[in-house]
Amino acid sequence: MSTTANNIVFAGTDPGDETSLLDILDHVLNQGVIVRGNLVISLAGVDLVYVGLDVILTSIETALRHMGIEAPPSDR
Amino acid sequence: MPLLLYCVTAPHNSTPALQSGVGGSAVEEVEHSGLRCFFSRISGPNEFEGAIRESALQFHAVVQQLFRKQAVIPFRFPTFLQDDSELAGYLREHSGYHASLARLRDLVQMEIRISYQESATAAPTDTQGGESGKSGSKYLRDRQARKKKLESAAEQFHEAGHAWIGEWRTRQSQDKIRCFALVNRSSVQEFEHALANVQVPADLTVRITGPWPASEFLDNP
Repeated sequence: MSTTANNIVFAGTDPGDETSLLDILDHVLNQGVIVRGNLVISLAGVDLVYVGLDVILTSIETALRHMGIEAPPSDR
Repeated sequence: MPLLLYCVTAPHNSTPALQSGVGGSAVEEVEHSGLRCFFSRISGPNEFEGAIRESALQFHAVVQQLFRKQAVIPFRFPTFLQDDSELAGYLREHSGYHASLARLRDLVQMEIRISYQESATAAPTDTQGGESGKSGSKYLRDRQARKKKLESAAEQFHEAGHAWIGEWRTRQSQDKIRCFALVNRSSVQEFEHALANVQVPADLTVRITGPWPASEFLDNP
């Protein structure tokens, strides 16, 4: 990661530091194609049956918060 | 056992020797309908319990290994399908990814995120004048000015990098604008060098990240 004098920060895509880590989590959780379909999954002991992936993602973010991990920023 | 999907690539490309996937699982691949898909067999997201961040990073590591050599269409983490037949059906329905992968073959996505510095994000408040003493119209004018400042900064970056940008998209939310540039894989350093000289207003901060898979530029995500 490098910073210029102009308030510009360059960050790669390797999880070398905490800031890049948030960028990576943001992309992994908020970008990429979504499969819509019927899913049966279990998260933290709670069954989520036949839910859309958007609901699952919300649950993941909630889980992150419960685990004391700051959820990555999301615009979507 | 459910399949955790990593990404789709074009078939017949040489594949790097992949390390283990999420939770130490083996990364498998299948070719169907002119696409190659990478996945792991995982009992379900309950395997992530207590290790969501680590699992997400392991997912990222697999996608990155593939992305270093070729265009990929990543799935959003975590995406599961029930079994192999469901995966085959998905690939059959999305054979159009082949055209996207061909179009994006040598291209990567760079992201420019422009936001107000923490000290500048407090104003204008959302009280719309009541508690801050500002009139509603002044509040709206301030918000409009802040929005325009973000847009102006984004345009500066667009102009600075235009020689290397194939496509450009933006998404704006309150106090933040995200710009996505489609750049040739071999031009990333030149692109970053050109953007490093942009003069940014003191109350703004800019993060430039990448290269990422070109998720924002898929034809039919």
